[in-house]
Amino acid sequence: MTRLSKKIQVSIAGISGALIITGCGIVNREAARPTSAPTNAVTRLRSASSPAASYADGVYTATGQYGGLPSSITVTATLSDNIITDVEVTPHATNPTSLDYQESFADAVPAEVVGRPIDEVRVGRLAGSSSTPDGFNAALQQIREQARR
Amino acid sequence: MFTFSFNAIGTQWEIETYEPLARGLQQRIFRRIKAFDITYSRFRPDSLVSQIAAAPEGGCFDFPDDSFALFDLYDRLHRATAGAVDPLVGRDLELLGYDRTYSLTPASDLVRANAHARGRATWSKDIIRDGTSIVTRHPLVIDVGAAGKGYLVDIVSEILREDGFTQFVVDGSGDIRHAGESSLRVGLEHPFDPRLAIGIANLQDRALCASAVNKRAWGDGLHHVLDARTGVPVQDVVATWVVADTAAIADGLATALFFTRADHLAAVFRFSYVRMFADGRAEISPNFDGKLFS
Repeated sequence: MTRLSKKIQVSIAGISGALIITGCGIVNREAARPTSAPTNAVTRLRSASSPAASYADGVYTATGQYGGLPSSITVTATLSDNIITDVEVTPHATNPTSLDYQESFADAVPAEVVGRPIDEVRVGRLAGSSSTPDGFNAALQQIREQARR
Repeated sequence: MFTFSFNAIGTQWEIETYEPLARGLQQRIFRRIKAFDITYSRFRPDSLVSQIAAAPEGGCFDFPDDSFALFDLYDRLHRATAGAVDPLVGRDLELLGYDRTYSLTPASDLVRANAHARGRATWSKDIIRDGTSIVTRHPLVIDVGAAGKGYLVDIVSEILREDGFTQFVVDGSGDIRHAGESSLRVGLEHPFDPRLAIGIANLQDRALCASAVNKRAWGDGLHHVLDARTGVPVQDVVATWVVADTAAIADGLATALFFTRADHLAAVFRFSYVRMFADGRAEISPNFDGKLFS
């Protein structure tokens, strides 16, 4: 088993895209689309191989930055016969903002809630259960009617 | 205030603006929503996702440009929820009866077991995505229900912005995008009684999306929020509300919060939230602009 471990700035979509696309033999397509971070490692990997080349089986690990925050994430992909058979992702909140969010969310303790009549709560809009697709409601109505007979 | 109401993608929409929407703009919005529906609706036999579901050997399918951001968001949701949010949950929704004809009749255990005999299809393993192209090897049912409507609310908001509107509310039945200086008070509807609100949110220049299990429930324990890893509807969380910069993210996270702890999602996304459990308790994130009634 080959084990590659690289700390690289690379988009996650870029990694899996490039590996898999080569795996199905679609090589003329530009796999790595413009993303927020350069995909240097993947590009190097691809250009070093001929179109028919295949990747060695093994477990590949890469850490990348993503999002506007940004945060980093580690992706471990298991490659077998040019197909990714397993992907494991470990997010790391290295950014202080992300850490703040994570810590403040940990404080949220569930408490009993009491419903108040909507006409007593002056609101401009409502968000929740009444948002139901029409077709679904109609079908449900039919089922209810059939059940009644 | 002017309100432009219409029905689209099987649900009620309202757009609130200070100036009425010109007829041409209304038509543009309709055309854009229709284009979205023709691509992503698994309820339309002529849609692109229906073609993918019907392709016996799979194939390569080109999606429009708008798919890039949507599928990218699904990639992030899929990873952040360790696979619980997965567009390929579509097959399980069909098997449970949430299908094109709204049969609302679950398939037999045998049929369901056979459907997954070769393992459950997942977004990370069975779909090869290259930007806006998707390669499949067998029929796959893509369902963008977790974030699709929110994304469409963003798209409609963008059309309004392009037309010069700076203050508006786009409400796609509970997926709400607000733009402007004065905040909007939004009631958080009680998941078991639409006459009640469990709290309020103050929404300004952001999006709020809600998800509730009873919203589309059709039988004992059967509803539309499935854990993609098991194909079984979730039971503990009964409703979620998320505020984020875009409706697509808020919508996707409203689904993700049924399966995943908020602090895990906060490593990847910026949002605030409320979620309610089956026992009548609810949690509110400290950064949520609003309150719960107690």
